[in-house]
Amino acid sequence: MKQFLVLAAILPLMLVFFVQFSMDQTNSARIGRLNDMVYAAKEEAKQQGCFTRDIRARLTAEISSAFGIDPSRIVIEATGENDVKYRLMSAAGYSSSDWERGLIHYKISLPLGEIMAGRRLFGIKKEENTYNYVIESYAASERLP
Amino acid sequence: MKPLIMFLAMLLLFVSFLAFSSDMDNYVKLQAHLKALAEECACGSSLFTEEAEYAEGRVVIDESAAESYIGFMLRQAERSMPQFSGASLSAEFTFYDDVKGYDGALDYGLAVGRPGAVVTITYTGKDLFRLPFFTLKTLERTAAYQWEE
Repeated sequence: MKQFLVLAAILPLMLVFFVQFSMDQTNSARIGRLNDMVYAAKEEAKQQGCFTRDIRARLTAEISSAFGIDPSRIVIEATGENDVKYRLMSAAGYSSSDWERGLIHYKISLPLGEIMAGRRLFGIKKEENTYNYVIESYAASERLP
Repeated sequence: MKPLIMFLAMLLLFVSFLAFSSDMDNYVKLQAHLKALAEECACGSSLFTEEAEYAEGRVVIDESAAESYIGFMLRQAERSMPQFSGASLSAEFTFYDDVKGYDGALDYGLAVGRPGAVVTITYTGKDLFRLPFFTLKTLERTAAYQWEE
């Protein structure tokens, strides 16, 4: 009986590890998928010289449907149509602080999944158990003037 | 006493396994980010050409501009990407064009006669694995880019 009671006490704790492992795998797969989506959008933006409204809308819709996130929670800050970047044909006349002139900046952030399994067991609030994943970088525009 | 010892042993084992698994995940993600950065450096740097050579009918990559561009990209990545925070990034690069030649281009699967770049980025930072018997402080990814005909 004593051993049964001990088992009953430690089993939930041990099970958390298994759930945590699968949760990590799921989160990792989601991040991989997100990276692929952003990569494809970035390649398209390089041809257009910016993240056009169409590219943004498609990226938002893709992420939203793949991860079940409300589109309003997906934040895309990127070089837009009012600031189209063109390919820098030559570095002549550019100082090192001027590099951004030919570069498309993009920053995509969204809330991703639960981090810790057994949230209720450890008394963690749902809103505290998510994290904001951010992808931020630059890409050289390939659009010709 | 025996169940307690068993419990502690299992706890230690599970915690170690979980730590290793999540560190391995981070390692794979870091590799993907490093690959994307290397690709961006390779294709961005290949776009800078020397105008005087172009006027002569040759496509020659402006090496100093390309080097500055790669340096800019690395500093930006260190600053803005949380995955690279606290680490330092460095790059080695080789350019192939009508003046520099194409020796070694085939090793990277590049065709001779078309300008291109090979960029290798090295990440140096804190140990990526928390377990004491795994140590990995440097990562390296190489990307190649070549102009289309």
